[in-house]
Amino acid sequence: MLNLTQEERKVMLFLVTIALIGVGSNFLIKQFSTAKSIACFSQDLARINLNSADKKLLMGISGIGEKIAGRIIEYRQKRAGFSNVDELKAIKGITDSKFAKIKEYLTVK
Amino acid sequence: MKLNLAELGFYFCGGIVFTHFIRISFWPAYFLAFTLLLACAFLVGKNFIFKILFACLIFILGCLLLKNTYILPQSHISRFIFYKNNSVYTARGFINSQPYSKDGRISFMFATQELQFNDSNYKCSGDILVQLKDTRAFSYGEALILRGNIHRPFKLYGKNIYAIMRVSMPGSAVRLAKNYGQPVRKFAFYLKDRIESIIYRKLPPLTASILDAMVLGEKRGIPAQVYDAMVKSGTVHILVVSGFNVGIVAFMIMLLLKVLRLTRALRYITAIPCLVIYCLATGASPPVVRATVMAIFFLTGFLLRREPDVRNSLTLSALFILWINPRELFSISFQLSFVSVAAIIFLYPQLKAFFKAEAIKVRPLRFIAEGCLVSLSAWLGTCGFILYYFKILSPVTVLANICIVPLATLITLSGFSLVVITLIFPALAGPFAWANELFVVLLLKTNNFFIHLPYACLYL
Repeated sequence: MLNLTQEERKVMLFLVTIALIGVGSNFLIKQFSTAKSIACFSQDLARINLNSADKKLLMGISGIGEKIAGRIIEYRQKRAGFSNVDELKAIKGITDSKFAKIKEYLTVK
Repeated sequence: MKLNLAELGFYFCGGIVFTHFIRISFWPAYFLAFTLLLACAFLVGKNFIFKILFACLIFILGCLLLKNTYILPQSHISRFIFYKNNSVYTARGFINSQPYSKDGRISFMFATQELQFNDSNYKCSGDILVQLKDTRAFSYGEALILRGNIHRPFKLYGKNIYAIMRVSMPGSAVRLAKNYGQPVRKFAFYLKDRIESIIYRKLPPLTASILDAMVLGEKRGIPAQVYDAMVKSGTVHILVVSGFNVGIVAFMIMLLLKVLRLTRALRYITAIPCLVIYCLATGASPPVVRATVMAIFFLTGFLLRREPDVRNSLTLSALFILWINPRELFSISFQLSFVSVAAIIFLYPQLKAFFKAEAIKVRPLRFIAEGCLVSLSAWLGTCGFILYYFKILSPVTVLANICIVPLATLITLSGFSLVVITLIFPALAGPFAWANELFVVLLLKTNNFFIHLPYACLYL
């Protein structure tokens, strides 16, 4: 039954100590943690910034393909950025119905 | 250290079982553990007292680890889901498993990072199961923003799934240009995708689904009737990836490396990461993790010229799984996997001596007799669990396994050969595919024969 040498015992005790400290601290963190409310959205969450998004990011939105994403970036470069989301309507290929669908995923900062 | 690990594992599991059935408070148990630790440290030289105190300490460590899993942090996703709450949630995070697609619906585990609902935003953690209606292809590690309803599941709670998010509105899944996936897992899933595509391209759907289960452990494509028939004959274990498959993979890797004239030590060192990748690709379920840890233990033993002990390696793999998630001790796959191997380790030598299998002079006959005894010991070990969980008793199991296991070995080997040949010389894959098809038909026919024998299986 548990035929450990003196050295093995010391190593085992060291490992158990570390494990106990780890379990205890993890339990403490869980018990006393609070749900952190974020004052404002981080840029990525829910809305994509039209003035900084790259082509790949824009194409992630359903309704925006490669061509439209390219036109958005072209428009942004020509006009030195968007001042509001409604400017998207001026881009060829973005109809009113498409705009209504995609506008909730976009923002201008 | 002979058998010390097995003994420690026994005390550790005892602690987990104790906490599962008897309610204990964390902090008193924690202080008791520290007291025992101090006592052990002071009495390290006293043989008998140290053994008793250390056994108690390991027992309490098991209790504490399970107790720790019961508490979820305040920022855990499940804390934000309320009863009869129909508000729409927006979650940001990344795909934390390999997405599975069926009938235009994609399912995957989603690791949450931020959550928005009722005009409030929170930092959050924890995985949720996402069911997404989308035609796009998603991959492991992709960062997404998802919008949909979240509810608490009832049946999946024990499987560490605390919430299910259904995303069905068009455009409710936004891709972000980030990837949080771990490179090794990404590679494992890529490999799995490649192998699956080869299997489904080269074989008819039924054969492909069975081979997919046997080679990669992906059971979702298997028709329910085939699965039920395998349960009835007690041969369903061949449809999951287990030690048997890991053994075959290890064997094939070693053979390939031997052909490449690598030294023995190099072969062992190369085989270990390959096995880990295979384990990850097959979903790292308890039987695969058990087999992988045992295989690594053995390979390391050979590498260091130390005699590996199968009982210690079995315990090491159990401790490895339980250390990550102590609740696995109560999962059916964990119990069946470990009990069957333990039964083979402990019962088989006894049965062999009892039936005097060594006395059989004809070699093929002795081989068959030994196979029967291995199957019998595994059946004896697991029949209690199968009776309890599945309410089924299959006296035909031992006989069915004698015929079906060699066939399953052949299918797995030919399946792996098909994959390797298709990767190297796709034009030569035809005969391998035909052979696979034939073996699978044979397997199904044999299984069908056994389950139609009188008293083949009895429902309780």
